[in-house]
Amino acid sequence: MPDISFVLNGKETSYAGSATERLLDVLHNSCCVAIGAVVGSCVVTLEGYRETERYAVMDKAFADVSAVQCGFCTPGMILAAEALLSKNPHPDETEIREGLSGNLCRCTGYNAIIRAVQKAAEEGNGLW
Amino acid sequence: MVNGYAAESLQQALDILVNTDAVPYAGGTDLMVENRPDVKYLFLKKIPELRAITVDEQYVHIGAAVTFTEAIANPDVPKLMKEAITLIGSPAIRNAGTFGGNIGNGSDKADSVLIEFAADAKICLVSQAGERLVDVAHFYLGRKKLDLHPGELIKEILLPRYGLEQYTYQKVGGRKALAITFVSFAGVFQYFKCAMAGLRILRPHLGQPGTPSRDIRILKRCFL
Ligand SMILES: Cc1cc2nc3c(=O)[nH]c(=O)nc-3n(C[C@H](O)[C@H](O)[C@H](O)COP(=O)(O)OP(=O)(O)OC[C@H]3O[C@@H](n4cnc5c(N)ncnc54)[C@H](O)[C@@H]3O)c2cc1C
Ligand code: FES
Repeated sequence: MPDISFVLNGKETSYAGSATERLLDVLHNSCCVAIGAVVGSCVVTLEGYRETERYAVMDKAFADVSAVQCGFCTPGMILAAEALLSKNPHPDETEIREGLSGNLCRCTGYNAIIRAVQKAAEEGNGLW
Repeated sequence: MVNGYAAESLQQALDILVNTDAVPYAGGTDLMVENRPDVKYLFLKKIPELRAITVDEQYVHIGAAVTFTEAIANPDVPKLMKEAITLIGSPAIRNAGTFGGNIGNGSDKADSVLIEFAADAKICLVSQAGERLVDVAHFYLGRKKLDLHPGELIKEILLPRYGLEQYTYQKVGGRKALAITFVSFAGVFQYFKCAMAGLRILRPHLGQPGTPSRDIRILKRCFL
C-alpha cells in the first residue's frame, strides 16, 4: 500500500472541496474516504502531485494570473484541474467550470481560476 | 485490515455481514459525514456482483456499488436517471457516491431515488437466504426507514428499459453545484396519458428536513 497523506482535513462535511485527493485517476474528497477503502489503491495527494512536471505548469499558471488569494481553496482547485485536464486536455470554459464545481472559493470570484486552468492547458500542451 | 473488512465477492460480504456488526460502505460520501465512532465498515466497492450495469429484456440492472460517474458514462442507463444524477453534488462526489448508498442512506433528499419512484423501479436485495425483489415504494418506507433485513445487502436497482423516454425533471437547490435538493419533480409520460409521476416536496426554510411521510408522493395515472 502506498503512503497516503491527505492535503487538508477540510471541512467535516466536505462542502468546501479543499480536502481532495486523486484516487485511481478519479477525483475524490479525502474527508469522504475511510482509509480501509483505499487499501491497494494508488492515491495521489497534492504533496505527491507537487513533484510532477504538470504541477509546475499548473503552479506557474495560477501565479501568473493571480488565481490565488487566501489559498484555502487552492489545493482542491489544483487537483480538480489536474483530474479534468488528464481526461480532457483542452476543455472549454463550461467544461472547466463543471470540472472545478464543488470547490468553493470565497476570494477570487472564480474567473481568475478559470483563466489559470486555460493557461495551464495552453502552456502545458502535450503534458496532458 | 484498517477500519473494516474488504470483501472480494458477494458471498464473502454476506458472510461478514452475518458474523460481524460491520456497516456496509460503498462510496462513503454519506457515512464519512456521519462519522460514526468506533465503527467497522464492510467495503463493497471491490465486489464484482455489485459493480456491473447489465440489461435483460425488461430492465437495466444497476449494481448497488456503481458510481454516478460510471452510470452517466453507460449507454444503457436511461436519460432521465442520467439527468438527475448529473446534478448530484460535484464531480468528486459523483466519482464516489453510489446508487446503493443513495437509497441505503434513507435520505429524503436522495436524487436517484426520486427517479426510481417515478420509474416504478425494483430493488434487488440479497442475503444468505437468497435474493428478493421489491418495488421501490415498498422498500423506501420514509425518511431513514427501509425494508432492509439484518444480513441483507442492496444488490441492484432495476430500472425499466422502455417507457422512460419522455419525461420532465426539475431540481431546485440553493446553488448549481453541491446543492442539496429543496424541491424536485420527475414525471414520466407515456403516449397521451401521464402514466406516473413522482413529486417530492421538502421544506428547507422551516428548518426541518421535510415531512417524512409526505416527502415522496406518487401521482399515478393522473390523466388517464
Ligand atoms: C458534498 C456532498 C454533496 C452531496 N450531494 C448530493 C446530491 O446532490 N444529491 C444526493 O442525492 N445526494 C448527495 N449527497 C449524498 C451522497 O453523496 C449520496 O447519498 C450517495 O449516493 C451515497 O452513496 P455512497 O456510496 O457514498 O454511500 P455510503 O456513504 O457508502 O453509504 C450510505 C448508506 O447506505 C448504506 N449502504 C451503502 N451501500 C449499501 C448496500 N449495497 N446495501 C445496503 N446498504 C448499503 C450504508 O450502510 C450507509 O448507511 C452528497 C454528499 C456530500 C458529502
Ligand atoms: S483563494 Fe481564498 S478561498 Fe479561494
